[in-house]
Amino acid sequence: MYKKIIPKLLLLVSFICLDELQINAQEANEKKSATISGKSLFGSLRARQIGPAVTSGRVSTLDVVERAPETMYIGAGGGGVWKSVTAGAQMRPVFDDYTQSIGKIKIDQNHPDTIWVGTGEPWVRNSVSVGTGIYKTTDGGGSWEFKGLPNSERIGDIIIHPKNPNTVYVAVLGQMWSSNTERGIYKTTDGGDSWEKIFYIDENTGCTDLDIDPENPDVLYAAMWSYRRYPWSFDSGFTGTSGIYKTTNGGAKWKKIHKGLPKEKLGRMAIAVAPSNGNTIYLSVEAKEKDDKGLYLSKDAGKSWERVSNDRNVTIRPFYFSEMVVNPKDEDKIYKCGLNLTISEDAGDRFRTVNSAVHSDIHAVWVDPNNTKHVIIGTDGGVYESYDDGYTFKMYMNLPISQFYRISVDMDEPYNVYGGLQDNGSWYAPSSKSGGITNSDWQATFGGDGFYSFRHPTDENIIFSEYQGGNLVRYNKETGRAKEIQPFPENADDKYRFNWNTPIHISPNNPEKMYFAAQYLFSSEDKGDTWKTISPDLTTNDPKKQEQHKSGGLSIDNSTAENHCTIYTVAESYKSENTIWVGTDDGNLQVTKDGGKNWTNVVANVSDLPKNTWVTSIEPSRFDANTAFVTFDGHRTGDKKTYVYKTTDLGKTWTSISTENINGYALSFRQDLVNENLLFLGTEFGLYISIDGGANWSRFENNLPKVGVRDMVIHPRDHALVMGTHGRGAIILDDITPLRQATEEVFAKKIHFFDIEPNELSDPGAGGGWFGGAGNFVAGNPNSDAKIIYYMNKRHTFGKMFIEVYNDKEELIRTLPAGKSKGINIVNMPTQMERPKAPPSNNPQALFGSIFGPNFPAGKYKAKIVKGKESYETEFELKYDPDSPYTAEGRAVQSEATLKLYDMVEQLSYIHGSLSEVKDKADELENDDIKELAAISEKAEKLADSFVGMGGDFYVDSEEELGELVSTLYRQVSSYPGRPSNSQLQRLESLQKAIAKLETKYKEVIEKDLVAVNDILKTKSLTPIVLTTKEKFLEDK
Amino acid sequence: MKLKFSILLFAVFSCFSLSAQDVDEIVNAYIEVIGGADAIKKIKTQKTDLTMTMGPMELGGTMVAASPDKSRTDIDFQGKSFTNAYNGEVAWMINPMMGEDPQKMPEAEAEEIKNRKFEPEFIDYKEKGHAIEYVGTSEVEGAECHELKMTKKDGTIEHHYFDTENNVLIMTKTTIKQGPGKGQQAETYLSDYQEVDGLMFPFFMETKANGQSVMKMTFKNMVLNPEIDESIFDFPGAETKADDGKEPAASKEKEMEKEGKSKGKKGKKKANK
Repeated sequence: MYKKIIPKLLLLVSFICLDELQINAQEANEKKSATISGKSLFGSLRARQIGPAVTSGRVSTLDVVERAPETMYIGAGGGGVWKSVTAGAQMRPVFDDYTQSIGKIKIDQNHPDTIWVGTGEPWVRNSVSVGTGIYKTTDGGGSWEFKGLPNSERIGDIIIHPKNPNTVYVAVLGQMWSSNTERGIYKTTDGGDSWEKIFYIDENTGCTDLDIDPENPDVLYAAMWSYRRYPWSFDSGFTGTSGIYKTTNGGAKWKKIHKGLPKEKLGRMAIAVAPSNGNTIYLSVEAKEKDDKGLYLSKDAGKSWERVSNDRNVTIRPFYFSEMVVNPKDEDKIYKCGLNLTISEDAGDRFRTVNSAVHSDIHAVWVDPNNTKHVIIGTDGGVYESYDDGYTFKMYMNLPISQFYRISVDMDEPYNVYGGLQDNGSWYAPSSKSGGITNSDWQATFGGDGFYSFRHPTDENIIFSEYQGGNLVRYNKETGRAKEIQPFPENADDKYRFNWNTPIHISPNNPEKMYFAAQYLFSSEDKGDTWKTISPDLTTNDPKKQEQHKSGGLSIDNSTAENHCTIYTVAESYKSENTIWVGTDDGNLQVTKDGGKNWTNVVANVSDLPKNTWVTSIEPSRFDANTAFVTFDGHRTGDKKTYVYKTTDLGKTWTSISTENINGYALSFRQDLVNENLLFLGTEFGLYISIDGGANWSRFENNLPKVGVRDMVIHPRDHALVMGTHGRGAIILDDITPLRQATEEVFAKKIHFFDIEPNELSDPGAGGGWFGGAGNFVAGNPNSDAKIIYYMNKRHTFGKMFIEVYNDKEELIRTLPAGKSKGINIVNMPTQMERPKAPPSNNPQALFGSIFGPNFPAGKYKAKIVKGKESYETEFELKYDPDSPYTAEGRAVQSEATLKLYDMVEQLSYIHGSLSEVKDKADELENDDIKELAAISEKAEKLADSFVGMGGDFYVDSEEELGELVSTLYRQVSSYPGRPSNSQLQRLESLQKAIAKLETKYKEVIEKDLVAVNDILKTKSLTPIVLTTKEKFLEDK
Repeated sequence: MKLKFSILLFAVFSCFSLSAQDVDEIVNAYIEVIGGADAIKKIKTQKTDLTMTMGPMELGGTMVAASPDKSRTDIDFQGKSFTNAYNGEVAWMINPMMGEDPQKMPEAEAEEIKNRKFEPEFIDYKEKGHAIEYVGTSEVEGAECHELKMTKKDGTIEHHYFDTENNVLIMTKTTIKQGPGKGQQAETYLSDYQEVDGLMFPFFMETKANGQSVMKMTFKNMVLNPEIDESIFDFPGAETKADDGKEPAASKEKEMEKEGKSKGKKGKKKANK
């Protein structure tokens, strides 16, 4: 019954709400598309997040449970919401299924499991992401409910009514790149089920900041801001409608309170009411005139204002730094976020700035009301905490919310990952490391804002990196020095226009050739010492879009971030060195077939694309010289559609390969190296994969949040898709080979096995971390186990399903659980026999010694999936690492010795087991008339006890008898893949002799004493004692 | 100036809260599929062998449970036994890697075993004080499911996912309530349903945290209503208070010896056979 009702109701509901809920409905529809859902298709394929956390990334907001400050929520500019219940010792993301750009987090302090998250960062720099509304949890982040405001784009503040938690006020900045009406102040009185817009100025003015009177919750203050960003400039102040407002009746009426404030046009402001005195209010004011801007103070609840400071740190870059709080206990003490955190203890007269070990650019600050010396701040480089009143801070080293612009890899083993980070320089790290990838494995190659970073294809010491404004450097790993190698114009009066994220491109055909671009394209074949200009100005060269020196509105903000009419992406064809593609930020798509002599702008051939739409990526096909894929991004003019196009005739005609179910504007694109129909698309809201050349797309969700995927690269040797995300660092899909084999035919089969490469047996090595305690991020390694991978067209729910593993002699060697999902299942194959059954021991060394079985030898193995009455077979192969130092002879000696020791362990186990059985069975007869029973019981027990150490404290008071000696030697020999030492081999022999002696005594009990006892039992018509056979005993490990 | 708009999720929720019988329909269908309430209620004890798989490690053992909430799991390892048990009052364990003496479980570790109920919580859920809401359909391991949110009498929230095709439970999502993992979701996937004496039981369970497999359990030789000496659930240490401060059932050290679970002799600890 409900099966029929549900779709109808859904249809009805979505129909009714269609106008207002487009974005939300889109999200819901995503799972209902005609394509196979990502969850079904990708099954147990899982992405791996490797950081870095050493840099962390931009934190936009944070909140802490006041009564229990070990619980906190951190909101990142592009990396979601993180929760700690351990005062930062451990952090985990709790918002991965939702938009990762976070505007404001607010905990209901009276119900601390209720948290509101407003998405869309309010620190509106050029590279900022977008939000999709407000969300709420009532179980501490376990689950979230979308609560509306889908078109708000950015939420600057949230105020929860202190007595009625269902009443909430929300400051909506509104869309940054365009006008819209969903902005101003919203109020709910029913916990977010419905909203009323209670204050609105116009479609260009939003609310950035709210505060509430500590005594009277009907009194609120609001900072309204008129602002706009264009692809080429920023305007704070914009239409002149910014202002400060107050309500005394819960938002029904708002009154402008400007007495004492500058008469000129105002910009972004922050307002903070002293929690200890509602009449004391601080206001930071952005204005053009130096004598007007600064910190203002009202002592009469906003009736009048007086300027108290124009300190640089108070006035600097208001669009980026506007957060301010007043000490919970002291109305004269204020904390203002800025380039640094600055603290005044005398109501703004004098300021002190926090220490220089803290990353600059502060966006969030929290002061513990129960210990005001305890201060936590959020910066462009993560979270820092002080317990000494903000003098010194310790960094949280476990927040991998770094924002990559670009990503690349080299061919080392393991390969390294390179990339540049927003405000956090350029870095590289190994893609795997014994014990995991730690903070100290990341190496910096340059500072500033990082973007593209590449290892030279042939010179392992050279890494090209850059910093903002087109400053290219050549870093030498050997010397640790970087040489600045950017091209300069011939004529000193001329100027190159470099994009904020200036493209560096390494030729795929000629490792010595690289490209760099301003409005012109340059190439170099001597590692950047000499540059050749190989194009005319390829942009629109529109002078109106080249006034970045005037950008900023009231406060000039000329950081090169607004440089425009620049080349943004460069790609040389994989098939032809002379075919080069160039895309510009002002919407030109240029191609040359003759190495730059002639260029054609082909963007006019792209249908249904608004003019001047930013070209975000170009991917020439690996399979055909005339085929290319291009993504465009119009979000900087308010157009958030997904534009993905394909040409097969070098740009003359284009076909859209975007589909309705893709969410987010397009940022990056890759075609697979092997299967031309396997395509990867990065959007603002995650990774999409098509296995049919772009006809259908599915979002990849497993450990890949809805984060902006800015760049991707496929590792040609390791078949890994490496992504640079703008908020969650580098994320790797370690093995995409199953996707290469995924086709409609595969999906039709009940079970389909994917071909897999032979697995190199990893020789266990020492290494790994030491005792660093909690608090440091460690990324996991790729799974190096042998595995089988299969696609199943339906989830297995009824009946048995398991996997049997056979060796080349068709002997069943292991049985293990199967993966049951519809979609791709990855099951790790064992590479070890079952552990030996060992005699009991209370010696930890010996006990741990027999935990693992001996390694399988290299060779072919068969895996059989048994599913109900049916079975499906596949093979997998194990091989030794050809680069390992262990010889075949050494491995053979090791294997022989290991198996001998394995048998010795089991022999001792059996002797112990059967002696115990003799004792138990003799005792069970409880026949005092036969004195031989007591005698054999005592003798068997004594002998059994004689070779196992069962006393002690399982630590420093452990016994070591024959059983322990054998188990320990088994561990030593079996865990080292090469030839055992001669001492070990001699030891083996001496232990064999000791076992032989024991066996003699054992035989005496079994073959003499027990036979005699059984004879007596028989004569008395009693059942003789029969012992379990060795085979049976060892069956049950 | 007033812009009021409803929310899709809210609308969907309110639509379904109008038809609460749908929840019961799903719950009742599930109970029928697994054997029917009457038959299930006749089961008072259960015993099964199991294999536990954690990464490359595989261990065998036995699980015994009795109505209403008693349970004991013994996992064998090299002649020793890892034990977890709960007698309705005290949750305890033996970890031979930390010495062989029985220990009371710390609260965070005891949470799961103490909340394990013998009878499925769905049977007579209203009488038990639980509330169930219909959340919607969602996908679990590629299977379309009805998602039901159960708010238990004590306020604990669990999400249960019933395969829409067969109406069996294939996943349960719970929230860890204590310790450093507090607030984290744990998911238990169920499959390999097989019949035992006319009732259906999942013979395979996999627990995942944050999407990653933590533990797999495969059952075999399941026996319903075996005779069990219920003293095996009791904490062997004498004169200890129950977790809730109440006096525990009398210590059953002697019975334990008979079971061969702990023996002391001549200062040496004796292994199990």
